[in-house]
Amino acid sequence: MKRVVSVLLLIAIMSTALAGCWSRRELDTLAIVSAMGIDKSEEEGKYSIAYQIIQPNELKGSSSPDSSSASSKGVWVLTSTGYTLMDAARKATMQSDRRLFFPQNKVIVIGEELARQGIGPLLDFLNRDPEHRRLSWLLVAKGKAHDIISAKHEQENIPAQAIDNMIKSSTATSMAVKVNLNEFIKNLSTPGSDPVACRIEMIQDNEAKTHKMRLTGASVFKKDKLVGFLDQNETRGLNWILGKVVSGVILVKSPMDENKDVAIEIIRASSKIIPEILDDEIKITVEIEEEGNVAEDLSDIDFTSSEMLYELEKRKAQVIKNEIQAVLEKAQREWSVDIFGFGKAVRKKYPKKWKTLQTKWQDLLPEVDVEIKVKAKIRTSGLSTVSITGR
Amino acid sequence: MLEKGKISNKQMVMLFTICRLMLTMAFLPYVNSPPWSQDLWISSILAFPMHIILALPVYTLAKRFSKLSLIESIEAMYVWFFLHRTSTILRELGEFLTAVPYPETPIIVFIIASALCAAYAVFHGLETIGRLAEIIAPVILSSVFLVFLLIAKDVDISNLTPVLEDGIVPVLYGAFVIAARTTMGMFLWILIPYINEPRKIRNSLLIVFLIFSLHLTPS
Amino acid sequence: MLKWLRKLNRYFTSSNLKQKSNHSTSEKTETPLSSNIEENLLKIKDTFSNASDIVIREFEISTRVPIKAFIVYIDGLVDKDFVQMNLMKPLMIDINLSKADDEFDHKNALNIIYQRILTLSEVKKVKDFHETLDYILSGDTALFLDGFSTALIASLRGWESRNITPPDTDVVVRGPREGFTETLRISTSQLRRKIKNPNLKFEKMKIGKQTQTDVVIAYIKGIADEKIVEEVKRRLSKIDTDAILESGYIEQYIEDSPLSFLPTVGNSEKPDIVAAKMLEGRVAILTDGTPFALTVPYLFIEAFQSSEDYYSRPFYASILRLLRFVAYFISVFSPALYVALTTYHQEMLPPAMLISIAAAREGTPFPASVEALMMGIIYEILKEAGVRLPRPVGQAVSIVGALVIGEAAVSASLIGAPMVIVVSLTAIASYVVASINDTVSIMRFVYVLLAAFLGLFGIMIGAAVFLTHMVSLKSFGVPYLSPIAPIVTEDLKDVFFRPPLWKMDKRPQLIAKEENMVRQKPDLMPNPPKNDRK
Repeated sequence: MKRVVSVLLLIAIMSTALAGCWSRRELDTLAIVSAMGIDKSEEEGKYSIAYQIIQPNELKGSSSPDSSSASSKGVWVLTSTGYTLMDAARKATMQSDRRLFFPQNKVIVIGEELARQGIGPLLDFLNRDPEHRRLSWLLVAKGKAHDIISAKHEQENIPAQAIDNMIKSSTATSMAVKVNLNEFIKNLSTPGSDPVACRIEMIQDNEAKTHKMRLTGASVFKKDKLVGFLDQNETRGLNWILGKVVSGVILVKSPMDENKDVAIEIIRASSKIIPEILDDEIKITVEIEEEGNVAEDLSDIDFTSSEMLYELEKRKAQVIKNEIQAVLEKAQREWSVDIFGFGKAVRKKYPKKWKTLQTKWQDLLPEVDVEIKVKAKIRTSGLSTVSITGR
Repeated sequence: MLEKGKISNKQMVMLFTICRLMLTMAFLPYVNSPPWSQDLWISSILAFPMHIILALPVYTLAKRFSKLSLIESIEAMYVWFFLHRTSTILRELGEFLTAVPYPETPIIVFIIASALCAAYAVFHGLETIGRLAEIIAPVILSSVFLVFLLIAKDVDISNLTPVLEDGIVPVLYGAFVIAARTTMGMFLWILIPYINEPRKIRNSLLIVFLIFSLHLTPS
Repeated sequence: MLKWLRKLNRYFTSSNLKQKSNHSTSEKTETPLSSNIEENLLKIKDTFSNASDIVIREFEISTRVPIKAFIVYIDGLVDKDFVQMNLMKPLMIDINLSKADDEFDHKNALNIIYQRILTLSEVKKVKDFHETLDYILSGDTALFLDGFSTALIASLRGWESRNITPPDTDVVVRGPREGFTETLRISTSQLRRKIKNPNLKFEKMKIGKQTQTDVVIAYIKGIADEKIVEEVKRRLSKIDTDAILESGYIEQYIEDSPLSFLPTVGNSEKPDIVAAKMLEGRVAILTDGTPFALTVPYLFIEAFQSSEDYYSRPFYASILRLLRFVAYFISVFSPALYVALTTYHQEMLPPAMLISIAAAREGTPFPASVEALMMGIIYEILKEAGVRLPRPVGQAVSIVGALVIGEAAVSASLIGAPMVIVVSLTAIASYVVASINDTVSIMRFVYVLLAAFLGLFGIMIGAAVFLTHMVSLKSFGVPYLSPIAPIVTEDLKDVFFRPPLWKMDKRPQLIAKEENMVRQKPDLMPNPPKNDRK
């Protein structure tokens, strides 16, 4: 008995000690991937993937912010091709002395061409592999994803960090969508909703003759296939409906002078989607409530007059309505995609009827009557009630 | 009886609690649990009466023979049940660990390590295990609560609608599955003769089931 | 392993038994004193042959009927002035002047000297030779008279002892500064001054066959549980060894789980702490020759309670209490967590942190686990050197340690900077709970090894086994981890927080005597009158 116990103990200790060789990985054997761009390869049926790999060595000296000279690069871009994502990732180790490490990956960019073919197969790996986080942002590049991955950013040593921050701070305009892998997969798999992803592209900077990356709205998917892009105003239209507008600026024509603008800052906004089914007629009411402050006035409005404020509120409501109309026109009427979650709303309110509607929702959607009700308010006019030149 | 130590009712409650909750949290079986819909929380709550119904036979037995542990009455069967149950639990734990954090490590490492750990506790006897539960259970329950608080801002209650989309039947079925799973954990029933105050056992059990049900992740 | 441990245990106990049987022959037997003074003198001289510190003074009590006498004492243990003034002078000079001289004869000499001549407060009559020897060895002076088989023992002890100084352990900002000294009587007097109560009992024992060390079991009758007192006495009386040089000797002979690295006997150097523990029902064991008193039962939680918690107001004291728990976890787990996170679970680190750690680890030659072990060992070396070295050199060591290991090793890329941070944090944190510092050091290494082999799972397994071990321990019948496990709701309030004194109505439930739990009346919360003068 004693011997059995001691032998068992020995095995246990040895197996514990040996375990050190299995799952351990020292930090300096890892290539930390910060962003990943997926494109169609020129070879048929292959993916071409660009990995943005952080180089801690290069970042070591630049702990102080002012030392980030143009020459120092914090990342290295590695390109690899393969028939699947896993295949490509493993083939990448042929060129890298370190093993690719994905959990810190913040950004996944998908090329336009590939997105139009459908990204469902890609998502399987990203969803199944334990190394991938579902909190990575999902973006669609207008053009090639590789360009985005290999682009530099002036402010950050790690461009992925810049994209991450850009997406996070897009709440300042509400003109981009914040979609991570988790949300994309959730919307893709929920009946009655279609996913969107953020849209990113390289924009020519005229003066510097260089290209800079910029978030330019949203990309719209039908199931897992890209059908088109929304521009920035349409994206805000989408965010109005989804209730995801946090802040931003609304430009309205001044009631005093139609050629001049008044900028109104959005303070808070909320939305409600109310579906109604009357005699098989589906009607959806979108109620938006918005509050804002006057931020900038180029004409000479007297804000002590309540009529002026009412007029401004009315105009503001109209701007919001127009933005919503624009996105509805494109997504609902033209592409027939339910990125607004109208189907989901119907399902919640009429679970029984939804069962019959679900299959033909695609075809019904363009015909659905959407009414938009906007309640826009102006709370204050900032620190001054009249403009400086007003009197 | 082999064991001389006694445990308090409080300790039993905690033992029952951690026994199921630990595994639930590691493996989250609710992902694949009927009614496969947003109504799972109702199932979880409905599991409470189910628990009670399923526990009734054992409870009456325990009342009747509070001095005799089940293992003494149906020994052989129980020993087999235990072997099976314990190996399943160890396997589930190892499966979880090899799935995510330690993909390259052989599963036997985790099974042996956990089993040795458990054996060490058993070596010290029931009183020690009871006290262990008293430390671990509050830690786990409070961390569940903490996690709940931290994700509270991301909780969207409207995801729980429509309520009872497919009627009550699948939800009831789900409740049954949950209760049945937990009642499987009732191998802890053999603890009953070692409890300080066998009279209060009914209350203790109700507390256990309440914790299970209100935890809202079917255990 | 458990079998093996048991065997080991059995080995220890059996060897103890063997020793006992060997020495049982040397047990003392009664040897009465002779009434012949020459015989006694010879015997004494024989016993103390070659002992240069023994002083034997033969003289004559110059009365009507002169009586031969001699005194024996050990030089250095008695106050010579007192011996001359209060023992020799009355016997040789004053006896002539007093009326006693007239009644003096060979029959009543002893009684007259005892009752009328010796102006000493503490004189005993002893008939047994070995008992006399014990007294002489303890520093008393023995007076032998011709014709009497009884020796008079005069307590004229006086030796050089250390002054009462503030102790180096249990340092407080607010609270008494005095500590025990090496002299047992001073220690008991310090306790008696704190607790002026006839129920404060000091039961004396002599332990150690060669050293004959005085040991006092101190407790408060009515508060201490008799079962615990009896158990202490039983365990003390079982000690049958040559020497007790420090209370640590006693600790190792009476602790509950000698094979555990957790202490189940507490110690303190301060009378106020020992008094407070006795007032909670604990039993103190004071040993002659050391300022450290033992207290039993000792619970794990006592390491986190400082006497100052109770002297200062409860708010900040409660925060400090929580802080000590945090510090304990930092000092035990942080190197292991660092190793586990950087070698197994990099995904759990926040990105910015991972990048800076990765940048710091870049180009360092050793794996993180080796680095952690190395730094841990270096820290222990520095600590030990700092304690042992003479003070001026000790400073040099700390400078060298900080500069060479902290600065140079990092800038030479031998060791990552985060590791240095982790180790120094660990070192500082471990001094917050100084009384279990040794345990913390051991556990730290164990956890680092486990983390190196199995990452967080290893730490978890280690923690589970350690926790199991902790809850299985008992100190004199009280579960080591109480009142956390088993939960004692009444006592739980003095664990993570320090409640106001007027809220602590009851003594610790598992320690104090069951029938006498109430410490104070409830509702003692101060409630000053509202209508004060403006």
